[in-house]
Amino acid sequence: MDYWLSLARGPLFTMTFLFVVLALLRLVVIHIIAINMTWKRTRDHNIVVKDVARWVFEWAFPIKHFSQARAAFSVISFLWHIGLILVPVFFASHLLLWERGLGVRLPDILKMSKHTADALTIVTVGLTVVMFLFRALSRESRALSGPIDYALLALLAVPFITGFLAVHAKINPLPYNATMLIHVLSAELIFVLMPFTKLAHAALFPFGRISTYIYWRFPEGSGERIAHEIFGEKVKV
Amino acid sequence: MSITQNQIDTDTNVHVLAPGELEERVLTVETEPPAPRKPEKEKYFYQIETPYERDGVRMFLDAFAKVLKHSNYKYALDTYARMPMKCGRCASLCPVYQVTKDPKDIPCYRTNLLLKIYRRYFTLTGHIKAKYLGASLNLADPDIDEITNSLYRCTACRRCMLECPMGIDHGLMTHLGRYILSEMRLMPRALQVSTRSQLEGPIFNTSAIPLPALQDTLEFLEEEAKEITGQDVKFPLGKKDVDYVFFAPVSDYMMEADTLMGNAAALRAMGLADNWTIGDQNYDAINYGLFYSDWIFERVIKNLVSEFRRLNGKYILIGECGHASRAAKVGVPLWSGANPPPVINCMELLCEAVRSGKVRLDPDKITKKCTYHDPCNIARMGWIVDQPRYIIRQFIRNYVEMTPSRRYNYCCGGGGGTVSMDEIHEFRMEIGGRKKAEQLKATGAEIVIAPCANCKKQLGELIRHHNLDMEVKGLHDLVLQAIVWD
Repeated sequence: MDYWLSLARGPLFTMTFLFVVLALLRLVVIHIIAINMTWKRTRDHNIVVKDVARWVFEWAFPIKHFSQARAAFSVISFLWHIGLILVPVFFASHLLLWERGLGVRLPDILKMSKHTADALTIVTVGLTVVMFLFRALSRESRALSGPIDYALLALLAVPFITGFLAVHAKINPLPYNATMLIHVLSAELIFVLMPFTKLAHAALFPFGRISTYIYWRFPEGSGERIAHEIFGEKVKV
Repeated sequence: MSITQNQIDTDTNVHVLAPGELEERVLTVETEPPAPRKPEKEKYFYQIETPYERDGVRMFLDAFAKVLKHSNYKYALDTYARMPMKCGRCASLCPVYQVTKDPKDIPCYRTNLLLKIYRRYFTLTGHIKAKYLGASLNLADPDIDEITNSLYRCTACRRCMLECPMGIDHGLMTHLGRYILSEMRLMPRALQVSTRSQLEGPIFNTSAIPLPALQDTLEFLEEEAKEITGQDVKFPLGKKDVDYVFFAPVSDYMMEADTLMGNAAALRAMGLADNWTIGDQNYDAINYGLFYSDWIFERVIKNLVSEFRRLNGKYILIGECGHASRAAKVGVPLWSGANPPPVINCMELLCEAVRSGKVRLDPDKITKKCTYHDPCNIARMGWIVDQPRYIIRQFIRNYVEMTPSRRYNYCCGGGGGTVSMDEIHEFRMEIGGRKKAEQLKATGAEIVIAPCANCKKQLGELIRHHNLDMEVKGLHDLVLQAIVWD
């Protein structure tokens, strides 16, 4: 078990972390290339960058949108993301992991105490359950969701639950090493799945809105070329 | 079918193909063997001129492939396909879903119809999954039929886009889906016939109004306007070297005379009586291409700009029409070559004139309780929201706002070209327009101001259908009555 744990914490962590960083970076680059190609192909270059940036920022912190649609779901989703992002990155023990695995040392002021991490973890796990129920019980979300949507939610909770159990030995029914192994491997599975699933929005979030802003700018003559290829030169309405 | 490294650029996961390769790939996609089909017009809830008889899947994928090859849609699809949250927020904003509660009317569901096909047939992972794990989707004719029906149950109002946490524009996906269908001749006959008249008919406008009839109408309107205003309100036709070349939706010439007289009167009050004109070779701003076809969209814009340039104008002035305004605003910068002319909506121009004091409006003329309907195409992105309200505040004291309004307005229920489809009247009245009818009723207004030809038609029908005690007017209809002449 020790061997597997050290493998998971050491080279496997480094590999999966680098994988997710590079894979997400690749996606970001692809999207930048796509925007650049669109930019070159369109004649309309009148884009107000400030408007797009404001739109993206507004949705990164979507407080003003809470009341617009499905308010409870929106608030819970936002709070859920806070724990989901902060605990893995700033929990003191994780900072050690960053340092050991990647050689990156964050300033001490960013260290999240155990008590804060505990509280955020409990909130995050609780909200994951609520998110799951929202998805399962809401007529609209249920109609749209497939097994992968539920599976990803469940998977996201695993490192939080096991992390909490690992630091609270009294309530942990499993051996520490086994708990830690599940904790680390589930996090690494999330890393691996991230570029291939909707979790990619962690990196692609701004591009949805940028796409909506830019892709109505159709290239000149594209419609004619398509019509000619399908119907020939004498294309008729 | 095998995929080689050359065919797919794995660095970008975006297809980079040599000419002809894409069609070859798509045409060799393993699909269900095509079965001969008889035309079944009744299976669509709107009329189609020439429903396809066989090989629908192949035609669809072929059209899809060609659209991806020549356009930017593949980039949008690539982005949207990676991050649909399937949260259902869009459903709570869709006026159609709110009435039907049918999951198939959820915007995200509709978008996913296309995304599924894109993932399966046009991405590397889709091909690999299909080859080694089994296809998640084997496109068949019933799928095409579902898409064909689904996309015209959407009014393309884009309200859902405002609240998608990922910013997915379901309106763009509806446009793309309709476009692909139109490339296999699946489009509403009503739109096709009008567009054919506009682009290929002898008269070159959607309602086939000949120039002599237009001239007669304008002469008549000059007399009418004189009676109403006491002024020599003119409708210049084909006048060159003026600042403003005016394009109204051609239906206005037949059905919305007060709006047109209001436009002409406002221009006279602004001191522009001799500085504007209606085109005499092209006088129709309608552009149904915005709803279903990029090449039609582009051709109509080019014709419009061509007329503008022939007349040597400085500004393209669009009348009271939401989709025509948006089509020109979006299309003119794209397809006018270098130095595209500025596009102005008539309410923008009037708002500036009222603000600067050039046009004064009598606050005692309109005493009925009024409300304002925001046409989706000019309000959704916040383009024309404040200007009409500024004008209204100057002369209408008894005004009530709808809730919600402005960018979050409800569609009239006839958007996206559906208002032209008489065969879906019941759908427009009971489903697409129901939320708007409820909104109208809640205002208790006697006049609903709707500065859009499509909205006016739909709202007029809604009012009759739901027995609402109100009438529909354009903003310029009321301005016509209220202008103070010095």
